[in-house]
Amino acid sequence: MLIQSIKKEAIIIANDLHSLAVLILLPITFMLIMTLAMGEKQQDLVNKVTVNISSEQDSQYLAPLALYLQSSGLSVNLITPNKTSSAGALVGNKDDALGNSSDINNADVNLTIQAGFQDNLLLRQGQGKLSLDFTDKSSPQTRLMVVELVKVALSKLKLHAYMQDVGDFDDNLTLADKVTLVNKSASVNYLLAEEQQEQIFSAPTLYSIPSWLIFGLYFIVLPISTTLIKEKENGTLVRIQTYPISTQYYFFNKALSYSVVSLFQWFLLSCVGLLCVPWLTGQDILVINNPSLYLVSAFFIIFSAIGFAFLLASLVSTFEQAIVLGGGINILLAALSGFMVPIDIMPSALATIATFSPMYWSADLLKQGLAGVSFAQALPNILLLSGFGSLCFISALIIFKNKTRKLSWR
Amino acid sequence: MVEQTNAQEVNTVIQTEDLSFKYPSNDYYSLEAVSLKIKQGQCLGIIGPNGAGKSTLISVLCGLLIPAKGGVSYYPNTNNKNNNHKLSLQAHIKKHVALIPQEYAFYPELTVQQNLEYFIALSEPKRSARQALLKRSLQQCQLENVAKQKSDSLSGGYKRRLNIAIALSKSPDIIFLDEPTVGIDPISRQEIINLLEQLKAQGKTLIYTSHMLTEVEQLCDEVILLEQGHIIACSQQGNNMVLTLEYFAEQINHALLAQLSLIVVGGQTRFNLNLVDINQLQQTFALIAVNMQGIKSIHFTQNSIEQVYFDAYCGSKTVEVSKC
Repeated sequence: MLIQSIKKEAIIIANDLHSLAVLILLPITFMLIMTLAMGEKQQDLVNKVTVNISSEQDSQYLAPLALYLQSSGLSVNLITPNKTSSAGALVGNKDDALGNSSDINNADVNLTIQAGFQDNLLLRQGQGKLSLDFTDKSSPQTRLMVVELVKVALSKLKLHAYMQDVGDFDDNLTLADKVTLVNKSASVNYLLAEEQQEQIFSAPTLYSIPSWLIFGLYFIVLPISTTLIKEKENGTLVRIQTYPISTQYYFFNKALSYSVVSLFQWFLLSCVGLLCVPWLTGQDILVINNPSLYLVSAFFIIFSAIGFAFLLASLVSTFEQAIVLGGGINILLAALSGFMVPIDIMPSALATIATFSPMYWSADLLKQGLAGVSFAQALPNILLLSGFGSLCFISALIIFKNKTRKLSWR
Repeated sequence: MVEQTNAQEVNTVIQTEDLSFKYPSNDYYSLEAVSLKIKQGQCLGIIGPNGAGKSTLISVLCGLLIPAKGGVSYYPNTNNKNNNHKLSLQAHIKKHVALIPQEYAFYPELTVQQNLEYFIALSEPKRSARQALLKRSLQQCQLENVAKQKSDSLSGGYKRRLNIAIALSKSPDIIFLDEPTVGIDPISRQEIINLLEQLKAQGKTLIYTSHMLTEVEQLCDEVILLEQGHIIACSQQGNNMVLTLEYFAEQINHALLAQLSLIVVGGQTRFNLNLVDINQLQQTFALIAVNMQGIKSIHFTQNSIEQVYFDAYCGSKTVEVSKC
């Protein structure tokens, strides 16, 4: 019976374009969009920002500051009373010999070195400061990022001024050499441990692929709900009541059939997510660092997703309710679980709520399989999903049995 | 519980005794004091206007609803040697009863064969037996030509046949049918009626509800008329005989009229006599034979179910109400 049941559910889903779209196309589309959106590295964002730098008085630090800003990736136009040039021109880059007038006019930030800045830099004397003037088009994120980059550039400039002051620079060094030397001296990359591990966790695909794969798996609620409603409306469920099978046997058979369908969906989305999406978006292919955990996680995630889907499906009575309740709750959970907005930039209250979401546990477990953490580390998520799935299945079975008991010949 | 009483001797397969049912949301009984016996191989028609209680009665009979009072007893089919006499009512229903709802109670996305395979798998665990059941169901309902066709693309007639084939694939002894011919052309309808007649001939018990009274008349051995949850009339095939007696009022023996205790219709010179069974017919003829004086003519006809229906629901009092 199980084979016939699996065959039946698979054919029904395969014949339903809406189900296919929701279970396969929607998550793949989201994987692509979110990977593309998140795949834009910090450096790419920085490169897009144009800074016009000028000085109220002729300052010896104007050019070094421009170069330090440029070394962080910003596009810098140096504006002096006589001419306007890009910072690159200062180090002999011919392509950057002259600032593009449109870039100058469309700069995101105007940075001005006030008079007396030179004395304030090392000696902390006077009021000379650096003023930043953002245009209206700059987003809050861009503003924060530029301020941080300017602070880094100022630190380097301070080191530059100190080295100049104590005579650490050879006389024959060009400005470009001095900037390179300071950049090397200020580098702290060698202090960062577990660089490789950090690289795995910072891959945008590791964030977007598991999230939207889970989103697709939990959307199994729609085909389950619509099938149950159709069976109820066209008398099939009443007919099945007169077959020599119990309600719970039928229920678990159906659940098992949908689990097999979900397993196929998981396999398909994993292949697309791990291989195709990174290839299409120019990202590194995702490697499953703990394959056994990744495989085991699928069973617990599917158990939880199917249980949750059956609970919602047993609660709804109409197609409209299925779409609103099933679809709505899934989208809400996805938003709360940090699929749309990363949890680390959510307010702490929302971030706390996210940790109570089964979608969050599922995505986290899948990420753990990809990142290669041990089973012991993944155990809390496994236990949470098992508990949640069991609770959902028991509740769903009670509701389903009650509903089928009220069925009658129409 | 499935009972083993002397009901088996007369091959009664379902019996209800003062059956009453009330929906929790209603303050009245949707079925009240319904008593009936359904015999093996019989085709029982249940007719009545919408809301009369037909669906509720069928739901109670199939164990979908639990009666508030009275009970339903299923008796093992004595022709079936495989019967387990200890089966509970639910288990008995699940084993021996099939439903054919008015709706197309199958999966339109699946082919005819896939639908049958699925439903057969629900009732038959042995793989070897399933293939035989599939073949038999396809043949029985003449669905072989469309076996690979998607159910959704079938004509109305074939969909009805598939609806029946699914029920038959369970090899039931008792089949409940709800308007199995609604919405199809006359030829397809006749084919389905023929199929149902074949089932009757095979000894299957059919419980049939329909608003198509000609079909009910054609198929059913006995028809019960329901109104507001009560059986208001029962009509058996061959017992809706109407004897129309024309007489001369001044010459007729009025003692005869009193003895017959018949309902007078049509004024002073004419009787319509509704006769319930052959004994009553014999008694009536015997009475008339010795009181022929004043009798102008005697016409003997049979009432159609349609006439019985209209008489029952449109106010005419010509129907004899009998206990089924």
